[in-house]
Amino acid sequence: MRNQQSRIFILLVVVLSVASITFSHYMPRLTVPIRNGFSFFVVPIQDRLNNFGKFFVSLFSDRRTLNETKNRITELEAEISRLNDTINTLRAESYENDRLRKLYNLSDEYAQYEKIACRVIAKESTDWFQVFKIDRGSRDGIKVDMNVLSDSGLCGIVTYVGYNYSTVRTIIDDESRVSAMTQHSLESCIVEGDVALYNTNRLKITNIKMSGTIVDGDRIVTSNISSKFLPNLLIGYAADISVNDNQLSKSGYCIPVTDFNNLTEVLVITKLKSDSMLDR
Amino acid sequence: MRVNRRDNNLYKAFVIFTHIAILFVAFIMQTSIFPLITFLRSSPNLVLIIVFTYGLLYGENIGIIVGIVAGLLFDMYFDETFGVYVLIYSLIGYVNGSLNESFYGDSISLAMLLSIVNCFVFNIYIYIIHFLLRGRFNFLYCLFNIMLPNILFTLIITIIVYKFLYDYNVIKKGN
Repeated sequence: MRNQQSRIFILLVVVLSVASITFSHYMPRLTVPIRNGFSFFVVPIQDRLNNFGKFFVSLFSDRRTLNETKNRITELEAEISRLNDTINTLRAESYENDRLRKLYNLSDEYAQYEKIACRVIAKESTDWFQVFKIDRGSRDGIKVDMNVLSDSGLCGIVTYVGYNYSTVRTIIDDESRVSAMTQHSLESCIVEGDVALYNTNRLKITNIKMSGTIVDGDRIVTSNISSKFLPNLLIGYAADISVNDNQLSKSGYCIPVTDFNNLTEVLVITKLKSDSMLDR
Repeated sequence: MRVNRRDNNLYKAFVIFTHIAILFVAFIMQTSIFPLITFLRSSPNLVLIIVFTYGLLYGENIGIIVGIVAGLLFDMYFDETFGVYVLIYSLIGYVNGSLNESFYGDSISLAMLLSIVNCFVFNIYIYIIHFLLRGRFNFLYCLFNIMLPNILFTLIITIIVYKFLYDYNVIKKGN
């Protein structure tokens, strides 16, 4: 008797959840109030926990040995002097650039975008996805498709916005595809994430033309023909570029500048690519 | 008599509240604490452990109910189509609940076996929905690099958590 009863029960649950899957797939707006209500309680808890968790994590991650740190310091000092040198040359070039730009009356495409700093409060709990949540949502003016930066370069894109949180899909996620280009030769390509590359912290580069001159070490940035990503955001550096078997195109890997394992704070650019398209 | 009954109801409400609190704490730990510990290759599926343990200890109906609540937590929290997690968690609760009458829950080896099987089923489900349906067929890679670490970590946590859950629930039953 009890068996029969629970069989009916589970059947009912299965039917209901399949119905709800179908409904929410075609009408995702229906679930927005439910999720907002829920996150209203959960997000503050996670926010507090995050501070606690950071303390916890720092206990483990601070355990570098003294020698490692010393070596790192000497390395970094060498790097600083090298970078200073580069800055000086670049500064000179930047003046020249400004002058030429004025000459050509170009619009200032490299202007600093307005950004909002956000904290990462939760990550997808399984290893299947590279998705995380941030503590700002529609009340802070975040919108779907806004670009997300780490301190070093492009990190992801906002895919869902709740009242007080939003979901960010990183560029290494399996579903992510970014239209990109090389910075110096402006060859377009596609940078996509792959589940098999999560651990190696790499991305795939595909759709490179056979005639392209892209080489290992080239800077890969978001292209200006992308419909969602703002142009010229640094993604990473090309590596292991090779010709495909069909001898028609090339492909390779991109080593992203963002360290996706240690994301705690990110910046969301409040300008949408689609807005800038409307302007023109 | 009347006072007694009211006390009983209060007690029942308190018990239900503590069970929900356990589930909620597990959910928060799974989403906000484990993934931030970067040296963990994989984060254990605590909520899954709770669902199958309650199914095993209390039978099908409770298993389904706990599964629904757990599934709702995930469905409300992650932005996928609504109901994906309710479906899998309630089914896991039901199947494990049906084992309730044939096994005593006190053996840890049974819990370990169930943990492996359930976690495997759960991972396969995610793989089918999110990868196979999009035409990604690198199953073997996923098996060795994502599913197996997840199953292993969940197994380790099962050994710790199951004992606690079992003792907690059996003592309560005894009372």
